[in-house]
Amino acid sequence: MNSAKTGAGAAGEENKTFEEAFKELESIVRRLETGDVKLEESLKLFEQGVRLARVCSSKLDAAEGKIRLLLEDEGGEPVEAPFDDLAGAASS
Amino acid sequence: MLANMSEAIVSESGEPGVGGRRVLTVGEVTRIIKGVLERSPDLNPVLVKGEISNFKHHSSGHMYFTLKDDKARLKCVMFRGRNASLRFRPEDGLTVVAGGYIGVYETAGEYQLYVDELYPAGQGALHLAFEQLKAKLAAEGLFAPERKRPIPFLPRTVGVVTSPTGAAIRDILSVLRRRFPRVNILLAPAIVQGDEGPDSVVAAIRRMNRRGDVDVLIVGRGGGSLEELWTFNDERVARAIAASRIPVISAVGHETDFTIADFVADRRAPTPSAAAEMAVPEYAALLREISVQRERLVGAETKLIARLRDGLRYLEKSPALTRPQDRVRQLSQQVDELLHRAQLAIKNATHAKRSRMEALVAKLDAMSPLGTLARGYAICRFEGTDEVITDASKVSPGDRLRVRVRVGEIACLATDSGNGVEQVRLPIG
Repeated sequence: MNSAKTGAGAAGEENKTFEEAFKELESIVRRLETGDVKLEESLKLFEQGVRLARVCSSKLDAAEGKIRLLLEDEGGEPVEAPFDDLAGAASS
Repeated sequence: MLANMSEAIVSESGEPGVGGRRVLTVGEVTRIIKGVLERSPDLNPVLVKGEISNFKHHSSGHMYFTLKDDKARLKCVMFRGRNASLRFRPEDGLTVVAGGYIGVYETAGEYQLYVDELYPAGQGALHLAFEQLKAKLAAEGLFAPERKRPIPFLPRTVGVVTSPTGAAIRDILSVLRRRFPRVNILLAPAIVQGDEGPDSVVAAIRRMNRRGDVDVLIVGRGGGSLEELWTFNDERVARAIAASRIPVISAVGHETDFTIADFVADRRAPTPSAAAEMAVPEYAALLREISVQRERLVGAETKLIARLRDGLRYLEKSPALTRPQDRVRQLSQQVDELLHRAQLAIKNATHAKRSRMEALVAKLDAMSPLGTLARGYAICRFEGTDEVITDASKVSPGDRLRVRVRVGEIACLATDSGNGVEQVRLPIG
């Protein structure tokens, strides 16, 4: 039961946006820093904080750094093209 | 001819006239001219294009100048109440379009243009169109602050609508990739000037909105003349921005002038580079922030545990917890001591009693008549009364006596009086 619970928590954190996860991390840190937390709770918060920090990092690295073009085909439908093609076209 | 003239000047009737023709005063003529000019639909109202010369801004606040072209000149006046709202400073050499009516300044006998509106030529119509469109869209509420949507903090993909070959896209790409090296960028190429501009930009914005992964849209171009930027003052572009599901950052590269697109966009960036900065956060800074938070997290938890541990140590040091057996030992030692003392006491007490008893026994022994008897003395008593006889005179002959010796008794019969006994006793003593 315990493992199922933490599993659900981790999934919830994955679904958060970077901003949400980061804000939650900050608030956990603040709570821990006040020191007004029981040991067991603090350990839970700590674990959650570590998970959130990991989520934040992974969100930052989720993008692939692709640059693409969004063009239109003859039928007016959007089509994607690599940006390099355009660079070539632009220089020619 | 001459005679006719003099005749005409001094007519008999006294009425000014020449050969029946009426002679007018200067004032009358001027009023007639004024009336003709001011009633002419061609001249009132009228828009006149020309170059400004002899511009004077009088201390009264009124503006006096001449509009000229290569063929003619036209005197103009623009009164204080009209020129107060001018958006530019008229100056000699500037070609303008002036709107107003042609009137006559009677004192000088001059006709002139009474100017109500003044626009820089060429931009004049555009400017008017700009103001009209701005007023119209503002009235529709398209610029309302509550319509503005927040720019997402970390967009999955940044959409860019601009010319693929302009300076703007280079600036945008360079800033985006510097701030967030792995950002995904989708460029919808658009024509950003000329007559094709508006439709091209509108199509690109719509294309972007048909995708699901673009979280923010930069729409713009680099700097240029007001005419070159005109695509972004087009109503179609304004409405496409307003209708965009994706939040739009306008990035028309002109620091000071606003375009209609700027008013409609969710955010206005002064330059394309600035738009790119608004679109993505700084990767390195975020990474630092995360690691700072992580360190603080670990630090706070470590501190918390350390503090709890300190508290625990303090408690552990208390004798009650460190040597719980101490107390027991102490108690048991005390018990032992007490027991020992008790035993001693008992022993001592017994001993003392015994000694005393022995002493008493010894005393008793010493005092016991049996001891005396042992040494050969005898106890003599009257038979029957058991009265001990200590005086011989009390005994009469014939008294039955019992004599106790160490072992046993002897029954005796007195035969003599007491003196005899005393005599008997003397030799012994």
